[in-house]
Amino acid sequence: MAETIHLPIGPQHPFLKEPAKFDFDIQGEEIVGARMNIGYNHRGLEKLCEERNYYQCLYILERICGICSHSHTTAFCQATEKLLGLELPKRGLYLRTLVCELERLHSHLLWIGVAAHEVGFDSLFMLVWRDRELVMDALEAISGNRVNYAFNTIGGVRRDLSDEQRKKILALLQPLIDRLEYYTNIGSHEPSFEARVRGVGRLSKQHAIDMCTVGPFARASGVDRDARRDAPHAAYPDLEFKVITSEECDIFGRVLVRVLEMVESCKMIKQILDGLPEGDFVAPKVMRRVPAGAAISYYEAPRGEDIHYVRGNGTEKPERVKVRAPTMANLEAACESVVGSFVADIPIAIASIDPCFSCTDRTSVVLNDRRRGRRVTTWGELRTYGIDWYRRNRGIHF
Amino acid sequence: MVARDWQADLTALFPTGEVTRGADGFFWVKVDADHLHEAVAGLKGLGITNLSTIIAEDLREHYLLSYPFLGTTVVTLTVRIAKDRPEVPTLAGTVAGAIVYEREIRDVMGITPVGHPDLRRQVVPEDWPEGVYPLRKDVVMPPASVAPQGGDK
Repeated sequence: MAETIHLPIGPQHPFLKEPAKFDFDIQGEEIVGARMNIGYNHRGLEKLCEERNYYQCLYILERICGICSHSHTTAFCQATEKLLGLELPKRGLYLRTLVCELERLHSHLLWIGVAAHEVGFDSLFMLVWRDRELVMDALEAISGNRVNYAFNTIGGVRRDLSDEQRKKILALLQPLIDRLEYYTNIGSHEPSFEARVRGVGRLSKQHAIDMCTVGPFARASGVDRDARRDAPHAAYPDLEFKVITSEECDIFGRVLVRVLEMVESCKMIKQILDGLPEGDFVAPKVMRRVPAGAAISYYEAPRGEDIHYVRGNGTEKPERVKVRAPTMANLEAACESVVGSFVADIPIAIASIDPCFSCTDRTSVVLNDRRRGRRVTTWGELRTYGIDWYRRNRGIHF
Repeated sequence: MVARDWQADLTALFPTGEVTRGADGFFWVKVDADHLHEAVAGLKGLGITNLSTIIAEDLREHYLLSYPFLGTTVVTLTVRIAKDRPEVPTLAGTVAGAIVYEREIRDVMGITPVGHPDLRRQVVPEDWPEGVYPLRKDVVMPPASVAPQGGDK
């Protein structure tokens, strides 16, 4: 029997996009044990929220994650709206859900690219990311930004959708569905890709249930659970969609689930845009003081259920905000799913849950602070400042 | 699909406990720390098995732990923890997914899950001072040992 070797990976390592520490026990090429540790990104966001009002919290929480920023604000807004007893205008709910689904598209496309890159299929990575730009353009058209859309507000959304924008997004859907069909084909018929992902990172259904895993990771192990259906929120009760599951229980299944979920997202976006109700997009009057009480809000983020818990105390500031990002629920199980695979499978097996350690650990930001004279710098000002700094300090003239 | 009468099912399951419907439309059940295991087993019987997270709160007079479970509805078990004995029986034996969350509540609120198999630190750094629990309301943060670096003057 081969000697067991301890292989530490991280917190900084090229295969990790964000810091986390993994300890693997290996015998030859085979992994026989795995442990993980996180916390390298923890900067006390939940504590920050306790000292700020609900609107300020919204912008902090938006910055938990660069990919699923809309997920966190949606979950937080939902919890706060429930505490306020707010009834949202339908149009607001629909627009919120529109961005939710566009975000899911862009997040899943990003993941397919990353996964393709991890298995060495870089042409797929580049093709997928090219198509992702279509979605990013749509998001930019709606919100003015590619990530951190600042689209949600308590009581609805911050911007309306013009008819021109609506048509633009509708026109984009069919080409996207065609491309997704092409990727489904590649995913299921390209032998080198299949050989690399089939049977790797196995997680049985029972184990997925025991470990309380969430999102596409759980659904790829046959767990039929989706917060969009089981804890209805936003405009999802009005929309028709299938919950995609797969019995493959490996990375192949996770690829399939995500691709097919994107097709469902496209269908939902079409339903939203076709049936967009008229009227207000934000509730006309929102109290700044939130009554005492606690509310939990579930939101099916691209990576799984995102959970926000808000306790109000009758003031403008929350008593407690708790965030449970989906990666937190999946990491331990992902770590265990690697056991039995080979060392070379580690990157794709860990990436198969679409890990997001910023979400899991939570981040902090410097806000625009007028009192101390700090302010937000515009892109133009930053550029001028940079040019000026190099001219003064380094003698470089651009 | 016919909507299930969760209120009746839960009241039958927790005859002495208080079952309330929160502002969020979900169900909240108060349980004793000693009966936590029975409550979790009972929920399992109703098909609600997925522990979503554990929320630790400092409500000044006492701590409060909330255990939201997601099935086809959301049921949250809430447990009061006395300030002078910040301990709770671990769920690690019955719900494997609880392991990470219990490590987190120990780190941020200082509530020890008794019988937990692996109490390494999780969310706070390895060099974090002993006995400082950042989400307690009365926390006194030790001064930073390393001066902030970077940025041009």
